[in-house]
Amino acid sequence: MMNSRLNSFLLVFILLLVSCNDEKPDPQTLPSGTKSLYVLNEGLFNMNNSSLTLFDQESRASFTDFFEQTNGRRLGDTGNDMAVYGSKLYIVLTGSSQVEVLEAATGQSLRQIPLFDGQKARQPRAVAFWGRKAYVACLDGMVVAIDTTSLQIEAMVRAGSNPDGIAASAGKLYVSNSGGLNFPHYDSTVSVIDAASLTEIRKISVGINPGAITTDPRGEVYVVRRGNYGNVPPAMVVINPITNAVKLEVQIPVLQLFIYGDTAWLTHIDYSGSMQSSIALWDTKNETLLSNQFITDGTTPETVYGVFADRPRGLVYVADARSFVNTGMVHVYNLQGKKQFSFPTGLNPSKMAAK
Amino acid sequence: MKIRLSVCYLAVLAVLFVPTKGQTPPDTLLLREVEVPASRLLAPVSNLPLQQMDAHALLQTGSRSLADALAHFAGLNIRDYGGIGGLKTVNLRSLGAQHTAVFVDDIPLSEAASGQIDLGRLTLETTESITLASGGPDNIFRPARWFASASSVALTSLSPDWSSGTTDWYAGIATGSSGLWQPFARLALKMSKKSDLQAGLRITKASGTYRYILQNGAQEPQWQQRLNSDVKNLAWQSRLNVRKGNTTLQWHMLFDQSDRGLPGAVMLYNPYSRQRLNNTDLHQALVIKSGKPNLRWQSLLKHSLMRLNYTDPDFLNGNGGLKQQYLQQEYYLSQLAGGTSGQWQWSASGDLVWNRLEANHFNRKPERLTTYLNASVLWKLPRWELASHLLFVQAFEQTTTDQSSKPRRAFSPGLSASWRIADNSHSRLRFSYKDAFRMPTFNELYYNIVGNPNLKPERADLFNFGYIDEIGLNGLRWHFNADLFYNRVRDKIIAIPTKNLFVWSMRNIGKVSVAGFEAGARGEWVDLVGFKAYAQLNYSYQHAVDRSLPDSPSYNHQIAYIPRHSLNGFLNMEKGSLSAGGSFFFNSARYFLPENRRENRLPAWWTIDLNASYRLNIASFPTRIRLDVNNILNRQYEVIRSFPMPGRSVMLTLSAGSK
Repeated sequence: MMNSRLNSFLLVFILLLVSCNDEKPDPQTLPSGTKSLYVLNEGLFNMNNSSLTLFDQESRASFTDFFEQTNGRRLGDTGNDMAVYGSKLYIVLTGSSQVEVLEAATGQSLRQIPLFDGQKARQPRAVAFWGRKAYVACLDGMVVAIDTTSLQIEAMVRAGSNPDGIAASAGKLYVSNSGGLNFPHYDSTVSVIDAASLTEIRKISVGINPGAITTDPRGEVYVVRRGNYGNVPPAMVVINPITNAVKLEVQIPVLQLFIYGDTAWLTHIDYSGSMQSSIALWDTKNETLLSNQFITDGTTPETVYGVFADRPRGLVYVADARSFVNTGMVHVYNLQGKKQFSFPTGLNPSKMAAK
Repeated sequence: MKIRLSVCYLAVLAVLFVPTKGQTPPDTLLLREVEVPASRLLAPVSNLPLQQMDAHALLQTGSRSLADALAHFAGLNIRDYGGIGGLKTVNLRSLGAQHTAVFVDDIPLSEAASGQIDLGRLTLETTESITLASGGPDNIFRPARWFASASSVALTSLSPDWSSGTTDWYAGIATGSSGLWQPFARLALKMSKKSDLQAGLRITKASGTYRYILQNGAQEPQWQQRLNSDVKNLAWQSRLNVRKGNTTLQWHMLFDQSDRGLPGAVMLYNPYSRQRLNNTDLHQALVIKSGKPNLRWQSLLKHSLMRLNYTDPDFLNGNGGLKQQYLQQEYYLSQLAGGTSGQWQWSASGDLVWNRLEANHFNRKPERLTTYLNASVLWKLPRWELASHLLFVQAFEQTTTDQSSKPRRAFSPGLSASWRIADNSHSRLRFSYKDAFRMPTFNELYYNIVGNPNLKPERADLFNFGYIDEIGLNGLRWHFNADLFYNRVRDKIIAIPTKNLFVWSMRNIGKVSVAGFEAGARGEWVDLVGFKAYAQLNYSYQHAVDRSLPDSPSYNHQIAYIPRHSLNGFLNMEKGSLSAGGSFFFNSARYFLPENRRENRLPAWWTIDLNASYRLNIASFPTRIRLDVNNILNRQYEVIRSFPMPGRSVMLTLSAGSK
């Protein structure tokens, strides 16, 4: 009796083993169209699941992970920034400490640029471009200049503590020094660096914990000062690139800022209370608040994590990280803030770029 | 009948308080032994789902740490970060590691900062048995604190064998893969008729490295080496017994010091880690036990001091890396009274616990004072056994800032029953219910901006319904149990990552529902094709699903890291001085994130361990040589995403003396 029971247990065991073979991913047909959008999915730290979604604007189909399908290997850990410059797509991976350079048209990897100080990861965070160079701001304080043709590291310069963003205007680089890893002793400066000589010109004080930084069509530099998530509230700070002085400071709930044309999309998540996301609109030309709420149809993205505007088509892509641990979405709105459709992405979609 | 039962109780109490016996085996077990004239039971019979591994089984399986031993139990999943120094915690019936309390004899091994105890560090040199109880402690004569956790793992120390004089010893050394050197010893001294001392020591030194396969997309698999995984560890456990009349005084000491590298997650394209962890833990307790046949009491005073340093020179702050220092202290005072009267057993207990945490990166120093009051009764009838307890807990907290958690209080009841199906048999049906909770840990409450002082305790309801049986037939004894269980967790504490990597926050938003089935069989053959054989097989099924938010994509999905099916077993055969055996472990696929999607899936894994040992006498010392080959088929797998497990490893152990 014992034996037959034992046998049946073993049988169950074997059946389980047989039925638990690895699933292989289904082969997907990739879109051939040229009107596509790349979405960088940040993934989660230590999980090696940063990924790239390719969205085909004609068929409205999305493909994750486009990078792995194209290159036969995974993108890496914690992709924090992505931008197209010339014919190339640059992806900045903080965890893997690499800059991945792809051919924008095909998604083929051209080169992986490791950013290490000996065995110490520099942890690149953001990229900006000027002339024939890509400038990568790293959490270790360095700004690394990469030649966009040879894709070799050419030089580097020290900015402030834990840069979180970088923008280029009028031959100068603006690096937001967050000091985030020195919590509670945040940094509060933006480093101004001459792009050609790679020397720091000065540091501008903008208030604690500066993060997202970008430029408007006139070259004015917009910085998000995140505050301390407590008694120091966030604000938007505008720097004049000629005088390198703060010309405007707007107290407004803001975590990230995206400028397309003369409009800035200011996103915020109320972590201290409702956990709700909001997007405000700012007119960079007339320096006025256009609206407190870009979305006008009552739809509510759970966690707004990135914005991309395709002005010629009149579409605004809003990346939704949802609960940060579940598959993300991109919701597509028209310029009037009415939702058109949504598509799924990978984990924590953030940055977007046109193919 | 009444006289017979009283005799039973007398016998029980006599055994419990016979001077040479320092420990108290579960009462139910003893009663069964008296009532049913049979040899020792293979497993305890209880109202609650209770599993036990005795010294013999520990020896046969070659378990070197508590984590090794618990891998052979049913219904629990070990979260293993891999390797000799990798953190190993236990998750029983999908409730979470913080719901399982660990006790060495009467000493709770508490951890107020993270709530997790590294079971890989707990040695078994002086351990007689390990009991895992779910839905309450293994017997009702336990301090109130034991009743607070959903489940408990209790290690019971060996009773020294004085048959060969006034000393009893055991010593040896293990060596093997990953540069392992591990000398160990146990020594018991009988100093007088009224006092004895027992101590166990284990020293571990290992490089901890091992090879694993890195599979990156469609690329050729690559062999890689796990680095920065060295371990140095010293573990000491001792117990001094002094007896006078019916009173025993015990002084327990547990000391653990270790220094280890943390290899970290395997991150693609970034293989470096220089993180280190070192700790010094000292637990001391004074226990006085006294008793008369119908009344007994126990007083306990414990102090714990735990120091932990974590360094990461690659952390990019301005101070040359991360240097975190934690200092935890606990004072624990417990008073227990209990007794038996006719068909009734009762116990009442009051516990007072004071915890304090200091950390150089915390801007406040939390302190907590917790009171536990518990009353339990057990009513034993010839066929029925009914037990119930009611626990009251109150916790006050204060910190050096004005942001402290509010006082928390809770009533937490438990109920269990079992019914013997027929006289002169061990078959029983059993039922139990328990309300369990855990206080938020200090990290969850106060870790800078991550912590949330408004967190409420996490609550759980546990139901179990099962059948248990043990029979002896023609030289074979076998024990069988089958249990259906249902657990519900509410106000589960979940970390939500928020903007940028450094800001997470803790919320009471989780709800989990766990429906499961557990079956176990153990058999002991006196003569199986000429061998003395021992076999065990455990299976568990867990449907543990997220019920937090109905519109979430992970609603009704299996929660992270819980396999639907898990199976383990071992077989050991002995003939003369030769003994050989093997174990196997199987876990079905799991998900490392809440959503049950292909890209979040960790594949199923299974491993097989084999061992052989030979006993001989060298210069009249009983000596033993043992060879273990773990994961003999060199299976590559991960229990935790990005933390590969070791492949095949070999260990040779030489030991002498009596275990």
